Amino acid sequence: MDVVYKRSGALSDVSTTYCPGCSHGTAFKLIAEISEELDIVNKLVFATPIGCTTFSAPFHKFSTFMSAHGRAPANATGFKRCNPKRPVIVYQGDGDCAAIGTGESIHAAARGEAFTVVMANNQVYGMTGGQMAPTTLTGQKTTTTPNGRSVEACGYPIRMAEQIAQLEAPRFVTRQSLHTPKNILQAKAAIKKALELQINEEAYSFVELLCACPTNWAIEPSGIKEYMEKNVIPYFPLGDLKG
Amino acid sequence: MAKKEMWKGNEAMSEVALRAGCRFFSGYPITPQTPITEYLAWRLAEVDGVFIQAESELAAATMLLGASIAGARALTATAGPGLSLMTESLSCLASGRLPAVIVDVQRGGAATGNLQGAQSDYNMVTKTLGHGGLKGLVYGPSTVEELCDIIYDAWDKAEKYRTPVFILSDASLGQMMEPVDIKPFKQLDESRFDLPYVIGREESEKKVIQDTPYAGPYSTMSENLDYNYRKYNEMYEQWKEDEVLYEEYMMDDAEYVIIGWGMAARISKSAIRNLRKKGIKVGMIRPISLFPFPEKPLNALDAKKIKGILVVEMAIPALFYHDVKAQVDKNIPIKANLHCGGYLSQVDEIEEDILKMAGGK
Ligand SMILES: Cc1ncc(C[n+]2csc(CCOP(=O)(O)OP(=O)(O)O)c2C)c(N)n1
Ligand code: SF4
Ligand SMILES: [Mg+2]
Repeated sequence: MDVVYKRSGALSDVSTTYCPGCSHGTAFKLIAEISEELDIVNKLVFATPIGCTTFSAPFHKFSTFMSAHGRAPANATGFKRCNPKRPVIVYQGDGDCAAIGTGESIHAAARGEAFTVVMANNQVYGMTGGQMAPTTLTGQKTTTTPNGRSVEACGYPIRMAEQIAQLEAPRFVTRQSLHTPKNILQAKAAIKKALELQINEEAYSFVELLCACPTNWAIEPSGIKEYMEKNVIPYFPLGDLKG
Repeated sequence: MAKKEMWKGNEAMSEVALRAGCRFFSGYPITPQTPITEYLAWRLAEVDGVFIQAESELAAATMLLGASIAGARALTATAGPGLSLMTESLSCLASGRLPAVIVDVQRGGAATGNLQGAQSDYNMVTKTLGHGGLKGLVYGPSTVEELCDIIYDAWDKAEKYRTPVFILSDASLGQMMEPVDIKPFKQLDESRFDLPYVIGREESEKKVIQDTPYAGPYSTMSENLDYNYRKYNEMYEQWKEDEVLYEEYMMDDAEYVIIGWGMAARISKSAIRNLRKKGIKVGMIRPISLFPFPEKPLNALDAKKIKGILVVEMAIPALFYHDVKAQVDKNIPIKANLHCGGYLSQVDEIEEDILKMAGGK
């Protein structure tokens, strides 16, 4: 009998602690599968952010280092410049990447550091319990925008991939989503392309993933697809922005 | 002995760092530190090292963590306002037990302050490296030569103890020219890439490098942190036995003692020489390691022999003074001679303070 699907060997036996319907687990699965396909399980270095994925080291087989909130691109810069042979994924939440770490994100991209940033855009601060993120949609209720995010008080949500794409150095900038099987496959192809560009051409790439945080969106996991299509994707259009 | 050459403090320190094996520098320009950044910009390129002008001191200090995890001997340098931004990473380096060297070329004042020398960052690095109360080795040299000696061995110490090493220089020391022995190149061996905190060159078994020691013999994070930080503290206590550095100057027959560190101590030496000519028996104890603090020579000051202590410090409010006061016999009168904001300690004022003490006996 042919094996058509199996759990990636780059994942450990420890099951994740993410909430039901959370996209972080899906993103990890994709990275694990890609690392096996590219045969880099023992080479890949996974730089974690501060957020719901901070304590993710037990879930996979990669070497990993943690950083202070928002600082992973600077930490990875120091690492990769001194150890250029290890492929590096910098995995960040939207708050980590596009609020507290905006400076580090933009400048690592501007320098074209030879690593791949995967930004999980779930439009909230997941780990701290659902406060407004730089990506929270106008009108969206969070614990710090109890009446819905207002333009007057908070301005507009940041489209981070577009910010990165206007820089010269990034080789490949894309926004993908994890809300349907088709989108998940497209996201996988994008992350794989970014990693290949890093390995073969020492290129910086940025992959924004539209993610679900059903817990803090206060919706059932079964409602994610509809919520994404109706609310999230219209503001954060999918597709390649560069490369 | 090698022939001495005339070098400015900032450049001498940078060259000696390179010869000590430093191959990574990240920094953000700030007076009076900038000559270090400019020097290493061209000099590291000559030895295939990595130089990064970072976007901020937040990023500059964070890059040290990554370089350290990659097995490089890493350096950053800054001054006051930049030090404030670096404290986040100082905390991570100390907690993650990652070796790296940080130089603060101190300038006057708080906030934006002033560009001349000062010693006002003393508490900020001797009491805790950033939040969390952890420590690193902290040195306060008073000559260019001593600055070079300390940085030459800084990574050996950093790696031995897996700790950040902090050097408090200042604007005067950074810019003054003095004869120094620019030391030979150290050879580093490849085994450093197998060190426990280093993620190896090509590929490796899984390594988990955390800036917080969550792992340990217990099942909860809080028990493990309690356990691990207790161990760190044992190391800090042991440093008091093994890593204390200080100088005693003209102490044999001293009746008055000046206690100071770095530039304030250096200026005080001129006052001591002048006072000796006037027949006043004055000497000095000069801490070189600021953490661990040289407690023993201060504890040993004998109230039957010593008639007065003058602490000379370039910080207002006083900082170092309180550490001295806590260690000396309460029966010895103690005074402080303080300046700050780039106003250096003054030889004539120091003499006057000691003469007043001596006159009032
Ligand atoms: C300097 C600092 N400020 C604040 C925090 C608290 N904090 C932890 S995670 C987090 C938000 C993370 O949100 P995001 O980056 O979107 O990641 P997610 O949990 O949604 O995946 C915050 C504010 C912190 N750890 N450090
Ligand atoms: S809080 Fe949100 S982001 Fe965090 S694990 Fe739960 S669903 Fe995922
Ligand atoms: Mg988020």
